[in-house]
Amino acid sequence: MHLDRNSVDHFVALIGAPNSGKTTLYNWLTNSRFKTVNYPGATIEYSLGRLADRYKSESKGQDFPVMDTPGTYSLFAKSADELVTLNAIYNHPLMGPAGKIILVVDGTQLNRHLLMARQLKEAGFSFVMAVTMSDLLRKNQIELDLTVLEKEFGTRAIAIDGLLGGGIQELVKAVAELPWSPPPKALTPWNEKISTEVLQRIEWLSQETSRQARAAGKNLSAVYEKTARLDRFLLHPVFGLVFFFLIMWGLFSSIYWGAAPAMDWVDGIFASGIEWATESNPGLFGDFLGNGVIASFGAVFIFVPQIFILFVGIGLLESSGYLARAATLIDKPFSKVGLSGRSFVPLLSGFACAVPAVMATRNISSSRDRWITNFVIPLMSCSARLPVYSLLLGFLFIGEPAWKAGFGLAVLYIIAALVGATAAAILNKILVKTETSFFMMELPIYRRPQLRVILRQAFVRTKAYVRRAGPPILIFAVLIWMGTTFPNYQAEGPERLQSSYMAQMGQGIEPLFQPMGVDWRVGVGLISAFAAREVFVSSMAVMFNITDESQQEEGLLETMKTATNSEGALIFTPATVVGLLIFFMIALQCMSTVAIQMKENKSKHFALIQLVVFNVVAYGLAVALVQGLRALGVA
Amino acid sequence: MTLAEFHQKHSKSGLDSLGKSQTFKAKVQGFSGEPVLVERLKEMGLHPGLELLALGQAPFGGPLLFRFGNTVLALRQEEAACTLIEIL
Repeated sequence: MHLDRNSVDHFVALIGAPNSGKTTLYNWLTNSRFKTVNYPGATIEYSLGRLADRYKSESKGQDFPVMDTPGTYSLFAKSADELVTLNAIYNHPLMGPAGKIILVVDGTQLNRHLLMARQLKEAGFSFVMAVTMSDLLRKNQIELDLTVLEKEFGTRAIAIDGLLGGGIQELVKAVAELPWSPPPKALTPWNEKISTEVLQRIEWLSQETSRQARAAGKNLSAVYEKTARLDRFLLHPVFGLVFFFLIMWGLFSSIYWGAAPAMDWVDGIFASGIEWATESNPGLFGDFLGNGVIASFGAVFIFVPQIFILFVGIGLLESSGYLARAATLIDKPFSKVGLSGRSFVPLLSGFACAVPAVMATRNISSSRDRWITNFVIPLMSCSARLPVYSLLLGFLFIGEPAWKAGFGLAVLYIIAALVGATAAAILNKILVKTETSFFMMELPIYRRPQLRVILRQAFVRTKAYVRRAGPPILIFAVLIWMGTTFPNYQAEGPERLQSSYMAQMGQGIEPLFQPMGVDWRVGVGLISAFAAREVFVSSMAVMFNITDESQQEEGLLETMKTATNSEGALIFTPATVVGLLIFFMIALQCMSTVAIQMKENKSKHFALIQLVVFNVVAYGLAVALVQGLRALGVA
Repeated sequence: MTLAEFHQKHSKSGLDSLGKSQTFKAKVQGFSGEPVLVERLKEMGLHPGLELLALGQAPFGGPLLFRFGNTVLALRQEEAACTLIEIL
């Protein structure tokens, strides 16, 4: 699909309020074949696809791109993000203005959703109305008189059944018959008088449209009663919170443990790929192919299960209607640090892995909130830190009951969350507020999620991750391979890493590690952890000559007890190990996170600032802690 | 009286009041406050003459919940404070 202006004369855009059923309609129109693209220069994501072949007879053979836009309530933009959405239909930098618009209105929310019809008409867009939730209305024997709307807005209004796809053919036909619109006019803001008139007119229209439905109206209110009954429980100050934490625990478990078998499987495939490459091509080429190239691809694909599962989870929460409740429940504590309840899911995901978590920030509607959330995500203790924590805590509590290390682990997680909250609060103070932020959220009715649509969305987003974050991760991984392989690539076993460029670099900057109380070998471990934090454990094993791989951690713990630096002083003492723990808690040593931040924020500066700030702060704190503890007499 | 004050007065018991919510009825009279917030409140469906019910408040003193027609709306205190109402 080409996106340049020359190849695309006109495209059809779907617009509508959040929860209007836009995404479901979009899946029908494109037969779930679309990709997600970013608005040039922004982090706003929208979908682009083509009209499905099965509707070609209705469209009289016309073929046109169909764009799905983020949900919006009005053509008067209230935030930078909404402005981008409007620019996408007013004058897309690559595709020009939308030639035709499908306005999606919820048939049960006409009094609110018709506002945009009025605005589209005023701006001179060529549009048709797709009235969704007709399945719900019909089930309750409610028939809307859509001719009222057609007369008012001078265009077609078609009832859509999102569940079975009813009305889509008629909609496509109406779109095909619609003339391509002339360039739209910018709206002049409504004054008080006009806005009151418009609101009254729309209220009247929605009543007129559903007038015949009055008699049966009681049935529909039963649907809302059901939602209200559920809310009484799900938004309850006590039960609601208990349920919230259960749901979130479920989501977290599914990315933390649920994804593990699939990740092991991916890991296994790439491991056998590496084995095949290195064994069938002895020498440097095989090593490059295996440990350089194939391992790098492994580094990209290892995140696929987590990302897919996370997006399926978010999709389920969102389309069932629960996500809006979750954001409402947890909004107050988050507002204290300048965020909103919408940041909860991404931050929680950060405790599993920062890469999917950063991608989940797309669901945050304010760019400022998204920025702050993205910035603090790497502070959430991800699963890759666990092997490191386990090694270091194992050393601190050697020969002591296991609960002590477990308690230490819990303390680390809590400190990490507090550091994250503090960082968010600081950012909230120093970042200039350029626009009024608002929460205002409608709580949609509870509905059964449509699995097909959710799986499709998750798949498209996972694919977008591989395409976008893949290349930088690949490059970083190959660079790290080169650093740990050359110049002494012919050497066998531990010697190769011990004499590599990376090791030379470690030795070169040893003065930097001395204040942390460790020597260059630990420094090499810290640098190589940039490939993935857990690599720290295996490179430490190499640096300290632990050859028995099955006993890696035990062997390492034994060696750490007695390891000394060049001056004969013990390297690993309670003070230095605590310093290392703090360093790992805060430092951003993960190339995949840097890569995804570069891609998601459309900014190398963001990723670079984050990288420098986190590592400098981590280093400073670790040094302060080690020196402080020593001053207090802790070795 | 603003919507936020109305809420404070009538739903101290939190969401438990949902069942008895019919008694906590109010009518929107107008708006005051930051123009952007007011405009968005209107876009969310609030308009003078609209009758709404106070449903309760999210935990930790979080957003306030209102219902009108088929819509349930969650508003932060400062957002609800932009809506002027009369108690029915």
